[in-house]
Order: sequence, then structure tokens, then C-alpha cells
Amino acid sequence: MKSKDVHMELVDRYLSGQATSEEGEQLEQLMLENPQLRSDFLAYARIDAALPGAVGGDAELIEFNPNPVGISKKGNWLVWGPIAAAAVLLIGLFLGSGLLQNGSSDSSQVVARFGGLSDCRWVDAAKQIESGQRIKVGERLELSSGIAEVIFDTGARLELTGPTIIEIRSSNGGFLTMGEVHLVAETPESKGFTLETPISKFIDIGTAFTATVSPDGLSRLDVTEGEVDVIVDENVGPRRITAGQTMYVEPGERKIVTRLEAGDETPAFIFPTISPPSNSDYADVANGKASIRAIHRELEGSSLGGGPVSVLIDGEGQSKQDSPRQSAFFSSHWKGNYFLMDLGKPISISRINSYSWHQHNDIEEHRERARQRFTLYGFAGDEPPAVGNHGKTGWTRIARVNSDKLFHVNERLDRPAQQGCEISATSGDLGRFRYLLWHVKGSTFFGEFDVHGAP
Amino acid sequence: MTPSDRDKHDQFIRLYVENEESLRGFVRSLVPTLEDAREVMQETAAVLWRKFDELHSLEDFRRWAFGVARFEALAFRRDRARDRHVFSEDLIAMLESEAEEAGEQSNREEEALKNCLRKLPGKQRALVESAYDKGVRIDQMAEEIGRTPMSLYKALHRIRMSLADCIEQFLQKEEQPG
Repeated sequence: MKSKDVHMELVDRYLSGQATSEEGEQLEQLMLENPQLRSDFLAYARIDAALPGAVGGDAELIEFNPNPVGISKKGNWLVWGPIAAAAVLLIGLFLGSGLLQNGSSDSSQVVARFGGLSDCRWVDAAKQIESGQRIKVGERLELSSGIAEVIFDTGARLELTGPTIIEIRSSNGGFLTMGEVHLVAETPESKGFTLETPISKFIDIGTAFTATVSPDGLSRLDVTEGEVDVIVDENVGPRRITAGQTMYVEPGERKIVTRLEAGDETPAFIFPTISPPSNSDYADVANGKASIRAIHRELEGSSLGGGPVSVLIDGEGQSKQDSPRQSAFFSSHWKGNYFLMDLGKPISISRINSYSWHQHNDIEEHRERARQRFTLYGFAGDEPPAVGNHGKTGWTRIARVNSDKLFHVNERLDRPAQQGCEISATSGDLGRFRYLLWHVKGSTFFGEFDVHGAP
Repeated sequence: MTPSDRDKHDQFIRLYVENEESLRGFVRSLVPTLEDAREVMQETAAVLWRKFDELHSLEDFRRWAFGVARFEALAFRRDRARDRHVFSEDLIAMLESEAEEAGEQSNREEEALKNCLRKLPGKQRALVESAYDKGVRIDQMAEEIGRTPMSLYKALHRIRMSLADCIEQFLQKEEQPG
């Protein structure tokens, strides 16, 4: 922390209840004048608040009684850790309606059983789950932490990783509200296993996949074997995803899909399904309609060999694996770096692609600058809003991209050296925008941005 | 519960969980103890759910939730903790705005904190685990381990500062090229 030690000691005394009234006033005066101290005060409070959950796990034990006797402020909620609110409200609501576990009218049909259970904690503390216990259609499984296996009578095996909430919807399917499940469907009877999420439907074609729904509704599908049909929009046919591919589906009215793929690590930038860099997209320099610039912080300077930002719209990626001059990248590695593209006027955008390539010439594992990690925003007006605080300034968030998560990068060598990202909508366009803003994290060697669309 | 109730409920869960860590930190900054923060968080969650229908746009959830949390924390202090200095409206508004901005940071810090805890020397980790066990009072703990409360407070402060530095380094490293 950057604040003075003596100030942080005052912060500690205040938060641990030792500060006198005078010390409280002194701290207030210091914080009113010093943004750094406010920032450090908040960070210190966050650490203090997170420690009970981090060291033990049950410090957030809360129980909700929907009809408390009297106005006791204590002990009405009972839940653990990161899924606290979910459990709180589930218990509160479902106890009241008598529907804690059976939400379907077809609740008598037993279709699955619990398999292996590892360190499982359930939202309902009173719930006793044992391996072999049968599961009916309509049961809602609310796992706070640990790993639980669910084996369907069809042979489909689901592994839930807490915190996860899933409802068993049929003899061969479920609805994932939140969390992560891994499916293995190897038997003929399990073919067609359907996993729904709040914004999509994954239909197994005899395979294995992992589906994740984050708290804000972003769905992710990783296919590890075979194929999966994905239905994001009922009015549009399924999209088939095969082994090794992954896609994200953003929540919201427009069904926006993000795909990332590893390239062939040649100047041709060949990907399984994503097209190579284009010189005929709307934003290409040859078209003469778009411009792009870096804002907030400077690009890596020419003294270090970095290329100009215009390389992003020159119609091609890098010609070799470690080519700073053909790459646009930021000198700062911290957040707060942006590429702002002006398309000249609002256009209907159908697809946005980005390409990166970096493999150190001598060190095989050094390919850090290939990672694509950014949030993309759009704006249709004449003057772009300020950057930062995007939720309040008028920018529309289009998609979030983090290729390390998608490629499950745990070791440096897991990271593909050449990456392509494609953002599109399942039907129609991504939206009508004049400005596009990439909020970039890290110092990726971007080689090309392609924007496909028409006025 | 009707399907639409369930949808609403699920939507609320997702929004709340996404913002829970940053809300908890903000609440902690306004009330005297961790136990107080727990109680205020309970009340905040209950109020947010009760009034969820009144939220006009889901995009405003974070701002709305921070406003409710601030109100609940101040009400708590007014009713239960009169003996401590209460920050002025001006300062609380600054803290609210800055805590709200740090929302994404909070979620990343959570992962970093777990990593940093693992790196603590055994004795420090044992100390922090004991101190943050539910219901533990520092004065009682100090007596049990034969230390003065003041020395225990100071030791815990040093550990928290060390964790803060470690978290900062962890997050910076995450952003740096190798």
C-alpha cells in the first residue's frame, strides 16, 4: 500500500474498533484530502471482510427465516461463502412455498442418482446427501462447495463444481442457473443430453463438454470430445461446436457469441473456423473510412520497436512469430489502455475479429503477448463518451474476452502463440455503432482488427 | 413459486453474487466490526430482494445495491453503535463511489487473497486463522495465547499489510508479460 505507515495504523485502529473519537475525526480529515488513503482504506476493509471466508469458509454462515419471530437482527440467514445470497433467498423463498427441492409438476419421476461426493457442502445445511441417493425430475441441486457427481439412468454423468445451482429437468437434461458442470455422455441412451442455461441450450451429440454460467449470466461452453449443438436463438438453427472449440454467449437482448481459436502459427493465420485477417473489411485502411488510435496510455514507443496503431487496420497480421514492428501493444501492463476506432459514421456491424501472435524466438514458453484479454464497447453518437466508468457514460458493452480462461491456461505452454477471436450475433447484427472501444488488459501483440458491416 | 418468480429470483441471485464481495468490503468500511458487517449485509440482502421489483434497470443494480448498503450501514450505526465516530456524508459518498468503481477489482482480489494466504509463514497463517474464526474476541484470544491485546492487534495489522502487498503484486504480475 502506498499510504504512510502511520496512516495505515490509524486505519487499522479504526476498523478494529480501537480508535478514539478524535482519531476517527483525524482519519476522516486525512481521507477527505487524500484519495490514495481512501483507496487504501477501502482495500484494507475488503481484505478484512474477505478473510473469514478465505481462512475458514463458514464465517458467513447465515440463515433466512422468512417469518422471523420479533425483529431479531441476528441469525435469520444461513449460508456459506460466495453463494451466500443465492442460498439465503432460495431457502427463504422455497421454505415458504414448500418447494425447496421439487419445482416440477413431474416430480415423481426418478431419473438419476448421486455418484461420488467430494467435500460437498449444500446450501441447505440440513440436507443429508449420500452417494447412491436417487434424484427426481424437478429437483434443484444447490451445491455451495465441493464436487458432486450426478449419474443419470441414461448413463450421462454430470460433475458439479460448487458453487453451482442446477435443476434436473428431464430424464436426460437439466437447467444450469449458475456454476460449472462437466458432462460425459458416452452411452447411446445419453445422446441428446440437453443442458439449458439462462441464455442458451447445449445439446450433446455423444461427447464430453464443460458448461459454465457466471453470476452475471455469461455462458461458456468448452467441448472436450465429440460435438455439441448450441441453440442460442430459437429462431435460428443450432450451431455445431466440435472438440477443442469453445464459445461464450453474452446475456442480453442480442445473442452475442464470442469464439476464440488457436491458429496454425504461420503468417497465413489459418484457424479451424475463424477466417484469416481480411483486407476487405469495412475498417480496413484500403477502404479509407475508419481510423484508430490508442488512448489513455501510450503505445510501446518506436525506440523499443513497437509498431504504429495503424497496423491494426492494414489488412494483415504479423509475418513472423515475434514481430513487434508489426504489432500494436501497450507499454503499460496495468489496466486503463484503450484502442478507439472511428468508423466515420454509424454502421450495422455483423462481426468483429481480432488477431494476435507472439512466440519468443528462443524461449518456447514465452508467448505471453499472444493472450487476448479485453472488453469491447460500442457507441453510435457523433462524439465518443469519455473512457472509464463505461456503464454510466453511454458506451454499450458488446463482449468480454479472456483467452487465457478459454484456453484453460495454467502453464505458460498451454497458451496458444497465435490466436483469433470472432465476435458475432446469432442472428442479425451486433448493433449499430460509429465508435468501437477495446479496453485492453495486458500487453498483447495485436496484429489486426477486422470490422465487418455496412452502413 | 411461479416460473416468472423463479426467473426473477435467479436473476437476483446472479446480480447479487456478482457484487457481493465489493459490497461486503464497502459495508465493512462503514461499521466498527466484522460481526456488524455481517449483520448489515444480511439486512442489505433482505432489502435488496424485497425491493428488487422497484429496480428500473438491471444495469443499475450495482449502484442501487451500494446505496441500499450505505443506508443500512448508517441505520445500523445510528441504532447500535453510537459510541464511534461516524464519517460525514461527504466522505461516505466518496467511499461509496470509489468502492463501486473497484467492483471488478474486488473479485480478482478474492482469488489473490487465497493465494497470498498460502504463502504466509505457518505461524502467521495460524494466527490469522484463529483470529478470524467465528466468534473469536481478540482480547480473549490474546489471553489464551499469552500476549497482550495490543501486541496481537499489531501482529494482525502487520499480517494484513503483508497480505495487501502480496495481493497488489499478484494482480500486477497477472497483467505483466513474462
